[in-house]
Order: sequence, then C-alpha cells, then structure tokens
Amino acid sequence: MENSLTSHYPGRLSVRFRLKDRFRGSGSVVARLLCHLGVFNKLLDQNRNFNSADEFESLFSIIIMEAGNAANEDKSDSSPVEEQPSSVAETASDALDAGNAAGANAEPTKRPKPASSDKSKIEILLKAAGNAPILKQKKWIVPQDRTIGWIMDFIKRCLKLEGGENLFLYLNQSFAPSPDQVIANLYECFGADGNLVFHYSLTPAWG
Amino acid sequence: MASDREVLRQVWEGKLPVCFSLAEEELQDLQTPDPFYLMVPRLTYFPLVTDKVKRHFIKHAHPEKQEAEMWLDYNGTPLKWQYPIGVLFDSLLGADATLPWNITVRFDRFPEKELLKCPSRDVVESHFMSCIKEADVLKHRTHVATAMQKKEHYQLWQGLQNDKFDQFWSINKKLMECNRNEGFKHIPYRCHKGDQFSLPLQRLVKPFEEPDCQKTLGDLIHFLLPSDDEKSLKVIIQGVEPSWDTPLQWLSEHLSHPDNFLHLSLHSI
Repeated sequence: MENSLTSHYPGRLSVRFRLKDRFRGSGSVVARLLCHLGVFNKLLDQNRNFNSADEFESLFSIIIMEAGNAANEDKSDSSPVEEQPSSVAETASDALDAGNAAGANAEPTKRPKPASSDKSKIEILLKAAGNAPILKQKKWIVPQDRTIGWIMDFIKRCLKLEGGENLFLYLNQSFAPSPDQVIANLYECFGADGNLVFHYSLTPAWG
Repeated sequence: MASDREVLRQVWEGKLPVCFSLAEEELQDLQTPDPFYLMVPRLTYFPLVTDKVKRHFIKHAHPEKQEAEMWLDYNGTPLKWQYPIGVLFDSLLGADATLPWNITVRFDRFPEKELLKCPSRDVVESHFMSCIKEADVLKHRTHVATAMQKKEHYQLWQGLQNDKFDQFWSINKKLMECNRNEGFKHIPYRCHKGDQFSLPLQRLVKPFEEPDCQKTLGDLIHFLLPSDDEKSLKVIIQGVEPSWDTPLQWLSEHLSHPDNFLHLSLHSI
C-alpha cells in the first residue's frame, strides 16, 4: 500500500474522512487531513482506532470541522493539491475507523474554487499581532453567515488555547468587531482584494 | 460638525420608563419582591444602569445563584446588552409600544448561545470604544479616533457613563467633523428588525452623490431593500420616524448614538 501511494501521489495529500458519530457528540463530522505522505502512511500502517476526535487531532495537524464547513488549503502554498480517487480515500478511512466501513464514503477533494465564484463564502486572512503564535495556515474560506465569535473560537482551537486564555481579534488594525457581528457585513465594509484581513493577539493590541 | 445643538441635546436626554420584575420561576420565598421602576437613558447600555436592579432582586433569587450574571428578557427575547437601550426598545417594541417597558430579570440559565457575557463595566467600555473606532474608520480617511489621546477616549466613556452631555460632546464633535462639500467618507449605520440585530444589510454608503446632491434616508432604504417603500416599511431612529427625505449626513451627525452609529429599527407595516 505504501508503495502504491508514494508512487502515485508524491508530495502532499488531501483526503476527507468521515469519523464515527460517537467521536464528536451528535452529527457526523468530516475531517480534512493535510499532511505529508510519510505521516499519512504511518497512519495507515498503524491501522489505529482513535478513541476521540481530539486524539486524532493531536497527532495530525488537521482541523475537524462540522460537515458543510469548507476549509481550504493555503493557496499560497506552492505544491498543488492532488486529486484523490475515492478508492484511496476509502482505504484510509477504513484504517482510521475500523468499525464503520459502510459509512466511509469520503469524497475526493477538488481543487479549491476561488472565493469570488461562490458568493456564500468569504476568504479571510488571519495574521498574528504582538507575540501571538503564527498560524501555519492563514487563509481560510468561511461561510459568510459566520460570526466574529465563531472565528475567535476557531482560532483558539487552532492555537490550542486553554479555556481561560483570551484572544483579541481586530480589523483594519484599529478596532475589535463585536463577537455577534456577521462577517458578511464586515466584508462589505472592510474587505479588500477579495478578502477580509484580521489580526489576532493574546493581549490587547489596539485597545 | 453637528451644528443643530438643540437636536443633539434632545436626543441625549431621551429616556424610557422601565419596570423590572423577577422571573416567577426564580422566586425563592413566598413573598414576591416589588417590581423595580427605573427611568433609563435611551443612549446608554443596560449593564451601566442596572446595579441597583441587581441588588434589589438578588436576595430573592436562588442561594446558589448569588454570583450569577443577571440577564434580562422582554417577552421571552433575551436582551443583548451590547446595543443601546433605545435601540433595543425601538426594535422590539417600536411599532406598538406601551409604557412602561416591562422587562423580566433572571439569574438562572444564562443563554450562552444568544447573549454575550458582561462580567464588568470594562467589557462595555471596550465594546463602546471599538464601535467608535469602527465608525471612525468608515467616516474618515485619516482616523480621528485612533489619533486621540487616551484621556479623550476616557472622556467619551465617562461622559456616557455619567450622563454628561458637554463632557461627551466636547470630544465627540471631533468625530463629527468633515468636509462640508463631501460629508463623511461613508455613513456608519446598523439595521435591526424585531429581535434580529445587525442584519446583514451593511454596505458602504456615501452621503453625497455629488457636491450638491445629498443622499437621503429614502435613498438608503431603496438601496438596501429595493422592494420596500414608505407604505410597507417603518423606519424608527431614536424613537422617531424621520422623514424619508432627511439627508443621511444630517442623520449621521445628529441622530447617531454615542457609539457613532446610526441605528435603524425596521418594522414591516
């Protein structure tokens, strides 16, 4: 298996998995896995059952999102995303989720659509300010009805912040939008070059 | 520059009579506490005026809830503290308002999904200052608010907290300055309807078409909601229904809230 994978898909892989419902409360989740092939093979070799979504997430730098949320790869990354035939994904999914072969219907990922062709989603750029850790992936495509509060929770999860730690989010490097603000509104007023640029920090940066 | 000072003062002095009562489900003793009546300024935020309300009712609440955050609801709708009191009233009741405004006080089961927490006045201050900065970015090419000194920011906040018109406006007038022929770069506004606040109707709107041609309230509504007109929609700002011919620039300078936003409460007729 390892040889067929390395020969067909050099570089990076992008695969979608469906985790068992019990891993994450109610509702199934689709995990997008972005990792280098070596790590992916390690996963397959281990043929592991993961006891929780958190455990899975801690081993591989993926974000588990609810089905329907589209998080795309960083477009600035030079290596292109390979298209996956469903057979490869199903095999990986089986390895991950031993008991749920029937439900493993991961879809092949397509090259990400540019944001402008899909009006219900907005591209956001997350920049670190002060001594905040820099996110590996800075560009995300998010449904336009998401709130600032949702984005803050998202960043907190990416940075693995503890419950008590604060996160501050700014627009235009000058003001902190209210957590209940919908990003569609903010994009209309403060978006530029097709995206909305946020700065995040762990301490108040601009008041 | 907001030159119609009389209007500014009238807007500043707008108040609402409120009757606070503790939720029946939360009563602990047989004795029902008296409702608490309070005259609240339209322009301020609930957490800044309800300390007395909390003190009055907390002793009647469940002993385990003594440290809980108080929250308010009107007719089952939790009240979002981050909007000025007048905005909440005009949006939730505006159409058929009976006074006093009957509000229910609660300490139990804080609705985390619908309300933001407000553990202290500092949270209100941060929110207030952020709104001012956001409005400033929309109104001016060079940012006036961020160029201000900390003590000027503080004066805006103190003016609001202590209900001091002169203290507030001596600084706020700087945020209302603009070139007379162009007006603000864009008008900061927010639209609300019923219990839906900050509707996704925010766009960049310039107050002047050309130097001699000002956009009006009617122009804004037609732009945002092309299928509505005066027969189908009521627009309430600061508790009144301005004529749809009113220039947006004037509305922004005179009927904005202290957060520098023009809050429009929309009601379908």
